[in-house]
Amino acid sequence: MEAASHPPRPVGRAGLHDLSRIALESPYAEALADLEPTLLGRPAWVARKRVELRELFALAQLAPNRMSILGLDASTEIRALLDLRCDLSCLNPGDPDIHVERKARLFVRYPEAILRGPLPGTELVQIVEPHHVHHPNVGTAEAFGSAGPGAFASQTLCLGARIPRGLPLREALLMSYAALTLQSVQLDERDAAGVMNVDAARFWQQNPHRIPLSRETFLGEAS
Amino acid sequence: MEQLAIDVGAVLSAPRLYEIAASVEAIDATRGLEPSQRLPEVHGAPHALGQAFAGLVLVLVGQGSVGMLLTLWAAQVGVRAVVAVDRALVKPTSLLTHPVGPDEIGAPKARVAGRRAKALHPRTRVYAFEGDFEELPVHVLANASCILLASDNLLCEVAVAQRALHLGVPVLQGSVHGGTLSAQVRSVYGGEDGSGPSLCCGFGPAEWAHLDAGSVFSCAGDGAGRARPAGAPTMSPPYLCSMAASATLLELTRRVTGLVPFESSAMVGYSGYGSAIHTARLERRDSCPIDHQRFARAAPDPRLAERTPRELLRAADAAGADLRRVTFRVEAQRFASHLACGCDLHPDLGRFLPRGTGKGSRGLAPCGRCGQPLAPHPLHVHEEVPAILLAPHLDDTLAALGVRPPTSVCLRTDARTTLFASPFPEEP
Repeated sequence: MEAASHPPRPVGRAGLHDLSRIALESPYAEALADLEPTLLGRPAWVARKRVELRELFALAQLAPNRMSILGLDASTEIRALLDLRCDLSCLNPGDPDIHVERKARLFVRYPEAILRGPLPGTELVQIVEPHHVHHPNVGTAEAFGSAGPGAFASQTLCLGARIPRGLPLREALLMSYAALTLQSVQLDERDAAGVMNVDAARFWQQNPHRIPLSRETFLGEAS
Repeated sequence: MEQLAIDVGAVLSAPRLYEIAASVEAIDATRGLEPSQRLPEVHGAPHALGQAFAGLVLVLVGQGSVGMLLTLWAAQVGVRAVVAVDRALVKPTSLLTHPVGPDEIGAPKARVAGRRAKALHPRTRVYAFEGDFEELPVHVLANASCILLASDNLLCEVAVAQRALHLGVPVLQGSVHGGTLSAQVRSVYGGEDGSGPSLCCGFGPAEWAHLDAGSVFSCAGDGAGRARPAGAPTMSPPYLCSMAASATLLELTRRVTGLVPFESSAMVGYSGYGSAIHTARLERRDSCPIDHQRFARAAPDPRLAERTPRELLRAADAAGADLRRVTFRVEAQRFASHLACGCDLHPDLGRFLPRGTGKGSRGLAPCGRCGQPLAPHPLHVHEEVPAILLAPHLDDTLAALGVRPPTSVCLRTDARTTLFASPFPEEP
């Protein structure tokens, strides 16, 4: 019965479903061990952080050419600076057309509040670089510099009308990848979720043939 | 004559917490009136009603058809202070259930309730908070005697439950269910050690599912980061709403007069459908996902911003604690330890910055090495600040580090969390 409902996975390369089972290798195993004594908070939150961090490292190990972790602090909430290799559209001031950048530097936070209820879609991910990202669900630094965890004028990536309670960190990263490559995008400014950059929404409404920027999966060629 | 509004929201990015001043007309009209002229002696109650009310600071969350009545009645019975909390505006449909007039359509509900309450009893300190409960400054809540909740937003309910438990503030929630002509009040108090029930202890799978699905956070600009219910409005006649408000204040009366202790967490329901009253004890559920920790509380400190982190560590019995195991959280502030620029080595900053304003990088000269603009580095901006980052600043006052009063500081060690807060209301 059990075998029928959960057929064994084909032997081969590990996939996203295997994150929790992947044995961490160096340097990720050491990095996780180094973080362990720094984890603060109530036991349930520390345990949750442990799981999320392990999966974050497993994801980086599984897709080393897609994602790299530049900085990580998990003493209170989880806060990570990441490079995500993905296509994303930018529009420099005065340029007639968008251009495609190949890498985004993201600041990702994972607060304890996610265990208690849904969060705004803007709460987790900010794009530190490149500047002038032209995306319906990315706030411009000028308009939305006040959002997010830092007082810096960053670009906030909206992951939807709500981030579900308890959404795993890895899911937030996969959603970010899908959003930036326009594999998943919300273009309708009349939608209840709204858009963060109306100009970009109109641009992409007029250029649907250029969507998505890439069809590569997270574990595709770059990984 | 237009009533004056005095801004006291120094800690907020927008001046949304303000005290409402009495009009000359209201002062004249109420001269010689005392709430006690109409307050009865409650049989067998240890405490006199008027005296008990006179010491209360009430935070009233939700200024709808139930909550607005609570605010008005709280002022009429002469409580010391009320804080009317709501971010919404009076709508035309509000005329059907709220105690408002046509000329108040479009005005913030918190302001309308506050002005009406102040006119009824000018000696009550009346504040309006035009915002989400989640944004209400901690020092206001920390000084509250009780929270009266009349919101139909589950996200708000969870936030009230969590903050009330942490701060040890009792909650009375009035609610209605129109289809069954029912009014209900739930009284919960986590107690001195957080072992009592929270509002969320009674949540079942249906409530959590509704919580997950029932709110929308629009990214369309003005409401970024704010939840709004996606469902239909509460359908209920005004007299049922007033029944819920009455039951809520009666339960408060029972508790402040000492007829029952605040620890007596209970639900009282009136069913107009079956003409019946039912009651139930409310108990803590071990699997409640809310943090049932009660913070230790220091006495309200009007000079809190002049304290140093080291003084607060000492006051929290954490002077010898390992700073890597201690954190500070300052109300509405983030601590930026480093700046970002084009250099690999980011310059130190070491200041608290107001949360959500974009302030902090303004006025900074470009980096002397790379010439790039300076801004707080995202990885080095903390809401909850590991104390080790404050090590170079342990003897600087909070004010010198950028904190402005009124404020509050949450100091967390492995053993306990201690809250330091400015007093509220402040001396007039």
